[in-house]
Amino acid sequence: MKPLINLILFIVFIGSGCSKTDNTKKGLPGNDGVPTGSSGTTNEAVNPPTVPTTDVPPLVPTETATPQQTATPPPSTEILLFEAENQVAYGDFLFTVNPQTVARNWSNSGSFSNWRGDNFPIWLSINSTTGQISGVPPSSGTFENLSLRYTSNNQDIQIGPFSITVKSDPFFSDQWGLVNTGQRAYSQSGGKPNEDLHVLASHQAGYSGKNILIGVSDTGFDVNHEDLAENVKPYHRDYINGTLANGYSGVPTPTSASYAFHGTGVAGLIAAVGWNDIGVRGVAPRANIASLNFIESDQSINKLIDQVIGPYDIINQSWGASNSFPMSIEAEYRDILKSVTSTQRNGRGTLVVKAAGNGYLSCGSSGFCPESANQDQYNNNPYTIVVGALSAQGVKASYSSIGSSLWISAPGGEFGTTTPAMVTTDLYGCDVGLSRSSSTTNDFNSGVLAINNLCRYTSAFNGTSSATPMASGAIALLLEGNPQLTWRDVKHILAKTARRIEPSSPAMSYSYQGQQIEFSLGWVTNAAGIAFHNHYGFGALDISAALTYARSHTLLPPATEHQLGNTITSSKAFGTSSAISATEAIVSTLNKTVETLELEALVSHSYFGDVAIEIISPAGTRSIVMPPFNTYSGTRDGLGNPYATTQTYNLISNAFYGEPAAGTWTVKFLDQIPDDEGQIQMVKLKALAH
Amino acid sequence: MKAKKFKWKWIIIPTMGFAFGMFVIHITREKFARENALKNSPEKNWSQLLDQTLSNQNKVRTAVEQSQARGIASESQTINFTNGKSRFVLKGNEIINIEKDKNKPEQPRLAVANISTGKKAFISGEIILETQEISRLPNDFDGTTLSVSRELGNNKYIVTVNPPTDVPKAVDKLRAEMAIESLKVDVVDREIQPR
Repeated sequence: MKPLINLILFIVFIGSGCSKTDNTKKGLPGNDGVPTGSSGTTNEAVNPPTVPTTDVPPLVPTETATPQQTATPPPSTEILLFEAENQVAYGDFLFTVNPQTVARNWSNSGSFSNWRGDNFPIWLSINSTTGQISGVPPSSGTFENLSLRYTSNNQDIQIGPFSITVKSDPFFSDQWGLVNTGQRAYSQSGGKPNEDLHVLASHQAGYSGKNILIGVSDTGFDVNHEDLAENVKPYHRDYINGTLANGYSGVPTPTSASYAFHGTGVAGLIAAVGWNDIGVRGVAPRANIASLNFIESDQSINKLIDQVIGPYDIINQSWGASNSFPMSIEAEYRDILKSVTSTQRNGRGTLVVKAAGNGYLSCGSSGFCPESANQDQYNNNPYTIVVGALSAQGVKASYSSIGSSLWISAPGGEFGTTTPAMVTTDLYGCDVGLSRSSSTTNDFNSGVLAINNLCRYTSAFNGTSSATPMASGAIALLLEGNPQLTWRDVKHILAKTARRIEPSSPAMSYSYQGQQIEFSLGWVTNAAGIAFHNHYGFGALDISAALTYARSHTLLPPATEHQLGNTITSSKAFGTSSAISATEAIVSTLNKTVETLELEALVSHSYFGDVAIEIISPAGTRSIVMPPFNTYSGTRDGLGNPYATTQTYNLISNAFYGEPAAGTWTVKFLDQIPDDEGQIQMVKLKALAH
Repeated sequence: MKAKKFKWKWIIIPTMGFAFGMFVIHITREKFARENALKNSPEKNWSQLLDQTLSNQNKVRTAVEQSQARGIASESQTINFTNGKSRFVLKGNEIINIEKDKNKPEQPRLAVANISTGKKAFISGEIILETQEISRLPNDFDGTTLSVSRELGNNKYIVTVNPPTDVPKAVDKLRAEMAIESLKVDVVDREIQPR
């Protein structure tokens, strides 16, 4: 375990205990601890995990005198209070003080002086003037029979005895997605410091995802895993052995499928138990998780619906659909998605968090045909938060699919051999799971290193499957901080506080037969002043900034779906020798603000991989909703089925977030590649707007 | 004066050096010639290119490893050819398609898919029915049972057919006997995979 350098721990022990009422649900602090919202439409944030400043009984003083302390509350970012206020988190470590007492940062008024510590371990020291205790523990451990002495009114007073227990997580220092120090995470090279979720300050401020329930819609995970079991709640769905009639009851267990490890890795990234001296730490280390083995089931519509109407605050979908036509999801599933965002969580809406896809390198090094995240039909709705993946260098992971449906990006890692992947929980044993003897990724992942000789953890997990649970965990912290946030408020806060990645990222084009074929616009700042990038959505998720922003956030007004203008019936050709592009204009008079724009278009073409589609807003903001050279570049889909020559596109763009809906919208169809031609048949625009 | 002794090493070392140099030049020229042939030739022999791609074990291995890491492909290192040269199969049902890209015929693309979860039509036996006459649903006919498993609202229902293989028969029956506004068979094209 790598101790934090410059760790300063301020603990002053006053009083012998604290009431359970001091341990109420935590919330985001407003100014001076006052909630910032007071009306029905404003943020009714709960107070932060503050430390009481008065009425604290002494901790077994040996003298009768009780010091009249004038302690001031600490900055909320410096103390972590869980179910008992005797726990303080600093850096890697969680300090637990026993007997239960109040741990606080305070400033000595001068009433007390000559502070001393008895029986302190060598790494723990005390400031004789202020009483501040500081130290960098070399490792976890329990330090007993400690006591404090101070002088007050010429009396020598002793507090104690007490003990301090220090705990952490052995592989925390490898988790660059939480705290990126440039560590290698068992790969050959390290990442870029600070390119992470910025979660440490949030943990230290007291947010751990407590009481937030996350459904892990995946392959099912090992609910008995040593680093997950404590956070597992029995809201599972066994979609293989259960039935609709019995509510799919049962505890899913990973099967023998080749990707059975997947759910266990995802669960660990969300909510591996924190500070238990075992394994890793989740982004939300005290959130509740439940296992749903949807991927390994027959994936029926009943099961697709069942997971989003379940009791979950957040549904984590680290999966994606095949990139083939038809592009529309079942209308019934879409209706349910829309419904749960207004009915679940007491009307605040379930957060559906989904992986963007891993297809940017679908051609490998042999060509250029980036799969668009928009080609996964389950990404193209406003009710799902689509997450892209970042490497430890803080830029788009090599595989992460791009597209206008992305909302946010989060750490997802590379492949773990030359550059870091994610370290997380895995199925037990070196003959199953992602960590196994035959792995050539790195010595940790093959169980060669003694610290992982049972192969219960992996250092090779990656994909937008990894980025999605990182985002889900972060959203759990946000919901814990302010349970009043609706699903749209969460999206709004994530967008407004995202960190811009590669701020000077240029537009990108591909040279083909003398033509420059544009497939990425780089960062585009829209008329609302919000920047969007098809590679990143609104940027890198920054949970610390999001929690801060949420303090002063006023809840958004309700939003509804609207069609913009009329449906356009067309017969315009494009991709011809005389016109490589064709456009249709839609005039909207809707006096609202766009959140998500949806395009439905019927197009005829003999080679859909050539078709690019772009939307231009009334304010002139451009958004590529389907890039050219996409992975529809074939006459058959991935299953060998031939494409029809007329297809319906259902695509969304988040690039217009905050722009006015009124005005003339332009939809442009483009085919710069010779040989094939296309024809627009129908164009329709909708917007989720407020 | 003693005669200087002839030393073989002055013959052997330069000869070996020259031979090695020629070997390097030969390999390099062959490599560039092959690449140029691929790059410049407008008419490519598809099967030849396919063979070259498949013989590039590094590329195949990279594709396999990446797909394994993403949870798509299995652990198997053994690759068996099936379906001619267009596809090879890892352990189980995972496949790697070698696809011909019209725009870049010289560059066969490796695409990994999992066919084990594909083609799920009728597996679940679920159909989605929109009707105002759900009470007329034939619950049992010719050994097939139909039951409403979920009411979706707006006169839409998920109906489970048992056995699932009887979905086509059930669809015919429903169309013939009920007033149906819309009817669709679920899970025809959905193929959800870990990401």
